[in-house]
Formats: sequence, C-alpha cells, structure tokens
Amino acid sequence: MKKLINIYTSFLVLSMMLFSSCETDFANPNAPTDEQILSSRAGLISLSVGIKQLYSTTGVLYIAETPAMTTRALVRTTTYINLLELEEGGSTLPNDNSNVSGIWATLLRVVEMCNQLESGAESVSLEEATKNTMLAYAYFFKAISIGSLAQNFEQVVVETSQSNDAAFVSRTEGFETAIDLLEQASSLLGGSVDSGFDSDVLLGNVDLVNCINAYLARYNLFAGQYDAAITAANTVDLSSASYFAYDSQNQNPLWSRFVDLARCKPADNFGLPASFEIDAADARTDFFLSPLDTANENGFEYEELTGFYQSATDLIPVYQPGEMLLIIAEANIRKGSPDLNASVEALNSLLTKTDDPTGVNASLGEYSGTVSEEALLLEIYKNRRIELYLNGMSLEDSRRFDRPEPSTQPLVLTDERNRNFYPYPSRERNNNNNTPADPAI
Amino acid sequence: MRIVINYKKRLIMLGLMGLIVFFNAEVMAQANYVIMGKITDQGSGDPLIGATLQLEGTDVGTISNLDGEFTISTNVDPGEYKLIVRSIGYVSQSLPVSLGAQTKITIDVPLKADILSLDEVVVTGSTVATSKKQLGNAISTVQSKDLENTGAVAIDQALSGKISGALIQQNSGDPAGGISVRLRGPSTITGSSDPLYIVDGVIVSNSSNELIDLGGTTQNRLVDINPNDIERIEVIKGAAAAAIYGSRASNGVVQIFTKRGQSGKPKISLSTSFRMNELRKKIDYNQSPVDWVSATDYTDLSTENVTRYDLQEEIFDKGYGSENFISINGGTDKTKYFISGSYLNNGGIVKNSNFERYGARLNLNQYVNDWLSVNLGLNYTNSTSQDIPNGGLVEYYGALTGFIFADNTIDPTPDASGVYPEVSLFSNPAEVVANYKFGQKTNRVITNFGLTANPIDNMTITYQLGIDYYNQSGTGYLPIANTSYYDGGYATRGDANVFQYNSDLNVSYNFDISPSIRSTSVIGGTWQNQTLESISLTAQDLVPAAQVASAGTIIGQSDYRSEVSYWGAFAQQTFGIKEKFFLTGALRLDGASVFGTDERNQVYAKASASYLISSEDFWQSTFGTTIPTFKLRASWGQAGNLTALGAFDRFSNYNTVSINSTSGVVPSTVLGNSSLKPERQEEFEIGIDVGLLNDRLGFELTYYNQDVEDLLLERELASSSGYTTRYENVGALTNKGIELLVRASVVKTKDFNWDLTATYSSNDNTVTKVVGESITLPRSFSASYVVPGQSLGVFRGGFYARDEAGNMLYGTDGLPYRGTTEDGSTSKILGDPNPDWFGSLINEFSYKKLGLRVQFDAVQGYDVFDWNKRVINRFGGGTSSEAELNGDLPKGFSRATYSIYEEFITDGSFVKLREVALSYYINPKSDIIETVKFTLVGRNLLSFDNYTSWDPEINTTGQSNGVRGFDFAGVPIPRTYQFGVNVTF
Repeated sequence: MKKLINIYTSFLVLSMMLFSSCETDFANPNAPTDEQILSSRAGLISLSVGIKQLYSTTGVLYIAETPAMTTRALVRTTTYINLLELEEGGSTLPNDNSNVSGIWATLLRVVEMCNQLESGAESVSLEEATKNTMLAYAYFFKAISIGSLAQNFEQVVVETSQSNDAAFVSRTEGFETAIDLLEQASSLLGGSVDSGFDSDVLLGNVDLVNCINAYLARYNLFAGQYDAAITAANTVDLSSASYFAYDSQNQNPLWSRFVDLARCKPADNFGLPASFEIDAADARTDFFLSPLDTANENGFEYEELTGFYQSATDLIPVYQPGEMLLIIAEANIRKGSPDLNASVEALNSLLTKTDDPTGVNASLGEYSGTVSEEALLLEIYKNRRIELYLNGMSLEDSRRFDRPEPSTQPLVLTDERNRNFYPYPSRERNNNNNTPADPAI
Repeated sequence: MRIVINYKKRLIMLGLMGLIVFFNAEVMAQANYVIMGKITDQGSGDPLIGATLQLEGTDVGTISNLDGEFTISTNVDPGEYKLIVRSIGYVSQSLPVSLGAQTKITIDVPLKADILSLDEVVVTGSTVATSKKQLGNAISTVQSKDLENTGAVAIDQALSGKISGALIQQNSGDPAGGISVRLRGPSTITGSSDPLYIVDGVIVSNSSNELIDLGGTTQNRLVDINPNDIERIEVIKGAAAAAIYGSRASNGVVQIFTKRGQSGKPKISLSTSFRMNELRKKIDYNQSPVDWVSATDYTDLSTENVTRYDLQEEIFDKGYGSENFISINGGTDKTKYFISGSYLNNGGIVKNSNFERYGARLNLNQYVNDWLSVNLGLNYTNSTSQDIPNGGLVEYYGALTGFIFADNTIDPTPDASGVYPEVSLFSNPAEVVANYKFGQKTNRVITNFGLTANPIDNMTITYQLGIDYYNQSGTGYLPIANTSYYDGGYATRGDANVFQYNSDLNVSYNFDISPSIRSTSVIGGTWQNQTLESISLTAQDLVPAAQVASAGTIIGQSDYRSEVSYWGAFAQQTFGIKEKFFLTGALRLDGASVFGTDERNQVYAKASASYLISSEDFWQSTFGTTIPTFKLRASWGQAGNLTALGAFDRFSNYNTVSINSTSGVVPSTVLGNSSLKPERQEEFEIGIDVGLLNDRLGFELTYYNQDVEDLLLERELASSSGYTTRYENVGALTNKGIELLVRASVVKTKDFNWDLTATYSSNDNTVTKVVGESITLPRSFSASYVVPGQSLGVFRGGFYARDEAGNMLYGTDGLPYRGTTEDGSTSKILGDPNPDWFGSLINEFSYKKLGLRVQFDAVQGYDVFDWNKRVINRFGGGTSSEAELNGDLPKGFSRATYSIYEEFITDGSFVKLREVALSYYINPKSDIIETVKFTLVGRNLLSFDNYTSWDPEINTTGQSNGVRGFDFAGVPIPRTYQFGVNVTF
C-alpha cells in the first residue's frame, strides 16, 4: 500500500510540473499576418496605404528610370552596373538587370496586393460605399501596374499565381485587361469616392475618378481603341491634378535617385535626337531642367533635374493633365477616319495652356507647322517626350511613333532607343515554365 | 589517519560530525553492518582514490579515501547484496556480499584498467545510468582532468581534439572568440548544425547573438560556463541522441555534468593562474621604399620615395590575464554540496580587447527519504567583454579591416591635437584600438531542479526542470570626428533577453524476464519553451562626449519578440541477454510550434544493437588471449531538425510602412507556407570496439551514413507570384564518414606511465538536392555556394585563363585574365571549406609527481578564402604590391588578380601544437594542505601550415552554418602561455 501511495504521489507531483502552461500557438507580435490584415476594415485600409506606398516609391522609380535610360531621356553619371547595362542596351542586356527585374517584380507585387485587397473587400463586412471605393482603388492600381508592364514587355502576366505557373498574355491583352479593370472601377465609383476611404488613404491628394478616366484614355490609345480613348480623355477634368505624396521616410524616388544620389541625370533636350528642335521659348524646358552642360564618358550630355523632383517631399503627379490633350490629338489622327482639325485643336490647347494645375505649361503659340498626319505625329511625339517627361511612356511612345529600330549590338550610342522590349527576368524564367522566349531586341 | 589533530581541524570535524549526526541520527543509531576494505589498481597495486561503492538497489554507498580505503556503515536488512565498485578508467566490479550474522566484513577490491571505457557509466542516450557496452552507438566521454590546464577559456574550446568525429573550430582569436562544433558534418543548410548542449539536465542556450556589429564574429554563449566546474562531458553524435533528447538534438548532444559534492569532510580546492596571449606571427606587408606617382595609370611607371609603416604594430600587443577558482565540496550520506566561485580575465592580442567572467555555482543533493532525492543546481555568470571591431563583413570600422585597406605610406599616429589621419577607405587602425569603444555584457542564471524517486523496486522516476535566463547587451561608440564613414560619431546598443526552460519526466523500469534476459523500459516526456526579446537603437551624428544611442540622429531601431515551444514523448525498450547482447528499440514523437499545424507532430524511430562477442566462451577459448575485448555495435535512427525555421517564418507576414502620417502594410517578400515540416534525418552507424594486448591497446571504429531530407530552403519564386521566396521542404544532403579512436597504455610501471590517445575523423558532406542550379549563401560576398553534388558552402568564382597544359595565360599587358569554362561560364568551383579529415594525437607522460601532456591537432584538406591577401594587395599594402614596385610583377597585376578569385582560395590545412601541459605536484607535510600542483601550459604554440595570412583556423562569418573558411580581417588565434598553482585542502 505504501508503495502504491509512493507511485501515486510521485506521478501526481511530477505530472503537475510537467504539464503546466503548454501553449503551442504563438501569434507573431512583430508583424501582422495575412489572416489578420485581410479580415478587418482596419487591415484592409492599411493594405490600401501599403499599395500606394509601394507603387509610388519603388514602382514609380522603376517605371520612370528604366525606359528613360533605354530611350536616352536619362544619362548615366555613375558606374552602377544596372545603369551601365541599360545605357549599353542591345541584345545582350542581361535578364538579371536589376531595373528589368525590379520593374517586373515590383509591379507584380502591387498586382498581388490588389488581388488581396479585392478578396478582402469582398469577404469583410463593409459599408457599401467603402467597399466600392476600396474595390475601385484595388482595380485602379492593378490596372496601372499591368499597363506599366505592357508598356515595357512583349508579353505580361495579369493574374499572379503562387504555384509558379502564372499565364502570359500579349501586351495588347494586358492593356485590354487594364481597361476592363478601370471600367469596372469607374462603374463601382459612379462618380464619387467614399469620404472615409479618401481621408484614410487618398488623403485628398488623389482624385480617383479623374485618375481612372485618365488611365482609361491612356490604355485605350495604346490598345488602338481611339474613339474610346478620346471619350475617356474628354471626361477628365483638366483643372484637377492628382499626386503621389512623400515624406522623409518615403522620399520622392526620382529626387533621391537622380538628385540626391545623382546616379543618372536628365539628358539635354530630354534626350530627343537633334532632328527635333525644341522651341527656345518652351517654358517646360526650364520647368524640368537646369543647365549643367556636362557629358558622361559616352559623350551623352546632361542637365540637372528640377520640376517635381527638387526635394525629398516634392509631389509627383499621378498623370499629367496635358496627356489628355496629347491623347486626343494623337487618337484623332490614328482613328478610322482621321480628324486632323480636332487634332490640331487639341495640340494648340496643349501648346498654349498656361494654367496647368501641375505647372507644366509650354506657354507657346499655336501650332504653325504643316497640317499632315506625319508632321502632326512628329509634333505630338516631341511634345509627349517633353510634357510627359519621366512619366514612363518614352519606350512605348518611341515604338508607337515608329522611331528608328535599335541595332542589336550593345553600346551603339547612335541608337535612338537601344531596346524594343525588355527580356524576361531570370527569376521568372527559372521558376515559371510559361515564360515566353525573350524578344530578339 | 593522523594522530595529531590541530585545533582548526578538530573544529571542522566537530562541525561535520554534528551535521552527520543531525542528518543521519536514525541511521547511526541503527547501524548494524560495517563493510570496509581497500580499492587498488590491479596492475600497479596503487590505491585508487575516489572509487565509488554502492550496495546495489539501495542508496547506501561511499567513496574510497586517499589511501584507497573505504568504510560503509549501514542498517539495511540482512540478505544477499551486490557491492558495485566503480572508478573512472577501470572496469566496474560487482561483488556478492552476504549480510548475515557477521556484522563486520572486509573486502579488498583490485580493479582492472578499462582502456575502452566499456564499463564507463553514461546517462546520455539512455536517461538511466548505463554502461557503455550496452549502447549500440558511439559515445565519447571527456573527464574533468582533460579539461583542466588546457589554457582554454570555454568548454567547446577545451574539447578541441578530444572527441573523434567532432570538428571544433575557433572562429576568432578574440578573448572570447566564437566556436563552432560540428558532429559528423553539417546537417542543414538554412539552420544551425550546432549540437544540443545540456548542463545538468538544463538545455542551455548556445546562441551567437549579434547585438552589435563587430565585423562578422560573435561570441557563442557556451562561453558563460566555466570549464573548471565540469566533472564530465558525454557526447553522442547523430540521430541516436535524438531518440532521447528530441529533435533539438538531431545534430548530436553534448551533455555536461558539473561537479557534485561527495560525502566526507569539506574539501577545498584553490587554483590561480596567470596567462599571456601573443600574436603567433605577423603577415608580410609592402616594405618597398618607393611608391607609384600615379596609382591608377598603369603605363606610368614613375615612382617616388616613401616611408612605410607596419600597421600591425598599432593593432597587436601582448594580452595578459589571470584566473582564480575556488571550490568546496563535501556532505553527508544524505546531503552533498559543491560550491565554487571563479574569476577569469583574458586579455586579447588586439590592444584594449579583453574578456572577464565572474561565476558562482552551487550544486546540492539531498536524500529526502529512502525512495526520494532532490537536487538543485544554481549557476550565476557575469561575462563582460571589451571588443575591438575587426572583420570586413558588414560595417567597415574594424582595426584589421583598416589595416588591409590601408595606404601604409601614411604615418597612422595622431597629430598634436589628437586627430588621426585617414589611412584607408575605412578607419585608421590606431584610432580604432585607441578610441572606438565596443563591449558586451551578459548576466546569466542557469538553474536546475531535479527529483529522483524509486517508489518501488526497479522503478526510477526522474524529473528535471531546467531554466536558463540571460540578458546580453552590446554597445558600440565611435567618437565625433573619427576616420570612419560615421565621421559625425556613431553609437549603438542592442539588448537581448533570453529565457528558456525544459521540463522533463522520465520513468524507467527494469526487471529480469528470465535469469539471462534483463528488460529495461523507459518512457518519458518533455516540454520546452524559449522566448527571445531583443531591442536595439543606432544613431549617428552624436552630440560631443555623449556615448549613448539616444544622443544623435537615429538611423536604425528594432524591437523583436519571439516565442517557441517544443514537446516530445518517447518509449524505449532494451533487452540485455546474458550481459553480452543488447537490443534497443525506441519510438518518439516530437513537436514544435514553428511548423504548420498539421505537420507539428512527427514520429521517429530508433533501433540499436550491441554484441560483446568477447564475452562468449568460444571467443575466450580462441582469440581470448590476443583480443580480450571485442564489441560489435550498430544503430539506426531517425530525427527531425528543428533549427532551420524561426518562430514566425511559416506565416505570410506584413511589414509596416508609414507614409504621410498614415500606417500601411506591405507583404514581406517571403511568402508564408503553412505546411512546413521539420527536416528529416536518418542515420545508420556501425562500429567495433576492440581491446588488444591484455587491453593495453584499444580502438573504437565507427562508420556512419546520414541522409537528411526535406531540408528547408528559402526557395526562389517566380516574381509573378507577387513574392520573392518561400520556405519549402525541398533540399537533401548526406554525410558519410569514419571515426577512429585509439588508446594505448604504452608504458605502465609504478613510477612511469605513458598513455597515448589518437583520433581520426573523416566526413564526406554532399548536398544532393536544392531548387535551381545553386544557392548563394548570404554574408559571403557571393563567394560561398550550395551546389548539388558538392559539399555545403563551396567557394565559386573567377579563375585564370590557362592553356591546355595548365599554364596561366597572360594578356598583351602582361596581366593574367579570367578564364571561361567549356560551357561558357566565367565562374567555377574553386575550393571546399569542409576538411577531408581531422584528428589529434595526445601523449601523456607521468613520472612520479611530474606530468607532461602534449596534444597535436590536425585539420587537413580544406580551403580558406583569404580575403586579407586579396584586399591588401589590391590596396597597395601587400607583398605583390611590393613585387610590382620592384619590377618582379607588371604594374596592375594585383588589380587583375583582385577580380579573379582563384588566387585567394588557399589550402588551410594545418597541424597545431594545441596543448602542452607540464605539471608537478607535492604533498607538503602539513595538516591543512593536501596537495599543491604547479602547471605550466602552452596553447597553440606552433602551427604547421602553408596559409597566406595569419592563421587558417578562422571564420570571419562567425558561427555561420554554411559560410566557412572565410578570412576577412579576422583576429588570429593567439599563442597562450599559462602558469598555475592548484592547492587542495
């Protein structure tokens, strides 16, 4: 009996010691997880802020810098390998160039975040207006990320997949997907933005309705749907501007890269070839550039960057209102039955405007050149390169306006653009069997 | 016993007797048997001190005294008993004792030397004390005498060369430099391959927290434990350890037992020593009296006269230190105690670097009643280091870093107003050692509480609660107007609070199924938990004189917390047949909170067998005289590896971004994976233990084959996933190797003994599967890779263009250029930091009271990336820079070789005279002092190697698992001399 008591006591005491407080599930106190973020309004609002933060910092940097290097709008002033490779261009541009993989990866990250925001907004109980604005916001950023990819790659991914099997579609389908998303966003908003979402996320800096219409105009133009482009452009309120805002922790990425770190600088004459003469009176030159009169080791002359990039906290426009006039001018030429008068009219509005809300004004006289498709297109191209400087469309424009094809050799300094499209990053090719062959150039 | 007892001694004895009376009043009153006798060495007839005697199945026992004599007084019931006699290094004896009418029994026991230690009692891998011969797997034991007088500061350092199969590498020559221990090779890619350390049942943290950036190296926290407190260390390699200790022991287990009290009068031991550390060798540097007028124009060969300085003079100096240790142990049959206090001061060879350690320990054992005993262990340590940053891995404010990048034509000494000149891209070494202040402090308490119960015959229940808590803080300070990048001053502080505990319950039951078959069953369970909280703040542009990180512009801050729990349960069954054949099987379930909910609990199995063939009659009658001992053993086991994953790595976590005063989140680039499971390891080992020449020569030979699957890799994802990487169980690797231990008693006479121990280990590590072509290991400057078919961490990089005969090709400028492989790659595998083999040779001589111990360690067939040479030549301070100035090499040669790695992957093979210890003891004719022992120790006295920088035994990435053999401005291991006196009372 005594032995039994001994055993009993031993086990009782020991098991009490052993099995006290056996917790096996620990929440991460350092960072929220997907389950926590995607299950509440507050989580979705913070994800919305994150989408804008990522797109407006890293996204805007790659969107602006990468094609601008390829089309000579920027000049390398340091020996950083990524910029060296972009300036040399040619068929040997490495798939691992950090700008090429950077623009690809960053924009697809934004697409994934937008998908998460969409599914969160659908599943979390939200006010109808909040939900609609949140969905429209998700569609908008997803659309402009896909659109930016389609401007630079021959084929693009429009739906992310965590199984390494995302499908590729043609860039035209990419633009069509973007247009579809923007149209859905537009109808969800019905012309008004939820005030709560605006004060929590947009902070009064972004007029989402105008932004959606402006990008609809842009992508309809790129997709060859000229009438729709004109319609969308006409709905944009040209007196309104939308901005990405920065602070000391999230610095204006182009100021940081081109002014503060001075890795590259704007080319003289916005990198336009000598055949394009920029009017000395064009106020946009002084708006964006301040003279340096220096050349890099390859002989490319460059200036200092001013404009929207003069301090760490300068605002960067989400789009230039002047782009709408340029879209109308171009679409009227390219549409089924060209309307050159309408084109000239829009071009004149652009050249003569002095009241652009962003401050980008040519402040010139009306167009006085030949009124022909060819001449007008050249004038429109020149003005796009100036008015939309560093808006990330220079490579798209260079191809669309049939500027001279690049040679395939690297370091051909006379190439007006040294690539047509970028190769697909190795990280994609090594892990996704659907990755198409690289473009020849 | 002496007849004259002085006053003091009488007092002590009175006190002691009082204690004995107090605790044993009942026992004394009822004592009716007295067993006494003498324990001797069978060969020499010398008395054996400290042999333990126990009446089997009771708690009655004692220890033999200085003259080998023992007396046991007991009141046990009359009957047949077995007296178990054990002494370290001798075959245990079990003698029948019949307690009947005769109350006074005299037994003299001669013990036979046990060169293979087959009778050595171990607990590791079995939870209950088991003799080594029963185990199917290799187990190594190291006794306290092998850890004393080694000149080592930490336990792992002292173990170097003493265990076969254990590659022990000191990664830095700092006064508390970090150490890596690999038992049977690396077993993971993402995690750590360090073994599990258990001190008296406490799972102790051996983390290498990098709270401040010292250039790559860190201390590992085993440095907090004083080697002088150690009684014995048992090491099991591989999966066999995990059957009992769980998957945290899948890299093997190092079980450390500290000294216990022994019943008897208090025994005081006092030791003090002085030490001196010095740089073993300086490296050659550019001593040319001229320098180029233009360093960048390779066609301009004009030179100008310069004065050159040896910046090593500014950095290195002799370091002095001392160590004091006092211990008192004693007790009664029921209560035993061991108390110790220690102080260590170890001055580094880099000026103003130092390590100090204060420690105190109490071990208490108490028998509560005839079936229950408790033990308590308490160890407090305060470790403080004054660090000088070196190494070029992260920040570039190190002293040696400044030296290798320096233009040595500039006098590094400060001007009259104390301003140091810029001598390199980074910091002026003279300023670093004089003015940069870095340091770390650790306060640590390790506590164990245990219960052992024998509620019924043959059943033992043990419970252990182990708690390890420490706070470590690191600080760094660069004053204003220094020569580093942070010329406005720099201050940093990082603190870590670590708390972990383990709670273990084991029950064992043994009984005889038949007279020849004995069964031992063990079941056990464990619960373990560890929390880490760390916080750090870093600032630049300080206000004058202030040294704290809040006195400037904050450039970095973090607050991190994590908690992990582990649990497990096992059942193990052993059958022993006629004390010759032993069969063990075990099943274990392990869990850890870091894995996916459905994958947390995993089941592992183990089986082993051991066969002492030499105990068979047929053996005795055939080989018995030539090979008196022959044991075959085999073991197979599975284990999980839990170290690869952090507490929250399985989640899709979001990072905080704050913009325009709104808080946002952005997903981490690492996608979560809720189905992650532990890495799974399977190991098979087979071995023999053989004793020859009347057991004067013995060897243990083991072959093992370890396969690790489901290795966790942070694999690359297509960017179209929206993420960059994800942890997946996708890798695999193998380790195969041989371990050999030879022990010989070469000469054994009454006055002169010569013992020899040699170890040899070879391990072949091969990564068999990763995702993609290769993985670049972080923190290696893209030089260390994981490549399928190669060993972990091979070096890859550019190589010289060569003709078909293998001669180097030179361009028109006379400079070598980078080659291309047949498949067009400009990189190839250039070296392997994993040694082909390593081993040691230890000779111990004793002549009367004089002892000499000489240990050589060898690590052979491994490569070290000598970044020092690469940098010092490129920046003009090296010997090839001098050769360019002399005209022996074309100008620009060092620049050409700089971008081609080949030349700097160098053979690191070395043989070191690791330890020489000369000792002499006297027994003064005094009543107070028992013995006085003098020792003179030398450590790392000589190195035989062809290495191009200071010391090939180095790793600037510290205790990194994959990046090994990486020497970038790391502090070489010093040569140490130590003189010590040990007095026992």
